[in-house]
Amino acid sequence: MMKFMRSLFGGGGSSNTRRVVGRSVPVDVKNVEYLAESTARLTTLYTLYKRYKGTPHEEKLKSAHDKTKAIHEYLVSRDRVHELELFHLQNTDHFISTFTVILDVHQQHNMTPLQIARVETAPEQVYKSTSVTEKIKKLEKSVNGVEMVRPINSQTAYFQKQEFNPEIARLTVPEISINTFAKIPYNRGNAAEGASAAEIGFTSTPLEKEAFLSFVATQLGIKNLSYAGNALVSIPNSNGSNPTGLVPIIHWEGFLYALNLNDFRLFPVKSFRKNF
Amino acid sequence: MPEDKRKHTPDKSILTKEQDALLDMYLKNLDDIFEGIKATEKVQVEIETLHLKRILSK
Repeated sequence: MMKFMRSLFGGGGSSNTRRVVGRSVPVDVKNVEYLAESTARLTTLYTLYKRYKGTPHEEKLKSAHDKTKAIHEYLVSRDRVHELELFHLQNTDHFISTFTVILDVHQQHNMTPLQIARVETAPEQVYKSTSVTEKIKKLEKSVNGVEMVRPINSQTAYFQKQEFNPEIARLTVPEISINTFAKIPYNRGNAAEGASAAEIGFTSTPLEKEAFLSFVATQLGIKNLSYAGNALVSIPNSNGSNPTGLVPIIHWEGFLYALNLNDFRLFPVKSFRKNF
Repeated sequence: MPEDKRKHTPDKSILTKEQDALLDMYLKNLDDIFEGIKATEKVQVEIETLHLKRILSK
């Protein structure tokens, strides 16, 4: 009883199960969003630093990441998250896009002139549509392929595999960076409506994105797609070349894929954005 | 290029001199921002202490 009276009048020390009644703080929702965005940017900076590894500039990239992280931690600890978002908008974003573009262009420079020519024409090619049955066959093949990938679980099987295949191919999921302003033209070949040219980009309207996704879904015969943006990637071609071009990135069944619009091939990729 | 070969860093420099200078400028910018943020806090502390002084001296 006395304990209750004390707690009522503030003399008994605070309990751990105190609940503050009153107006909830709506600002906190924005804070959480800003924090998530800031962390995503820090990851981007780290990824960028990794990409610059092996160059004489990697120290500076690491320094940029570390200093940005220090600012982030300082402002968060002072509860000045809004200032942090402002800082990122005015500084970090520009830095990231500048040095990502520099790196991308540099990697493009290392290609032969033939490949450069292909880069210029790749995004503008007309994408022919194939029949639905062909698409289903392709899909079935890939599904069966997945079932055949069994982990090596016996000593003898592993030894045999080593003999016949001295180099086990290492599948990787490359990282890509989403380009938030370029648009890719594509062709919706539709017998009923006639071929219609359209564009898809990060800045397209939701309606345009919907149209693009439904087009891709019918072509590939898959559902539950969402559109993530475009990215500059280098895709291995069936005739051995490695053209670099801007391709749409779609999100399907929990993973990101780069879509080659020429032959509708999906390549798994990953990006630094945590919320995708 | 012989001038690109430094002690233990590789000889592939992908940034031009301008871009490298830009990188340095950005790093300095980050330092300045950080100092600025800490300075605003110091100013805040100053204001609060002055305020308190005024209250106490009344």
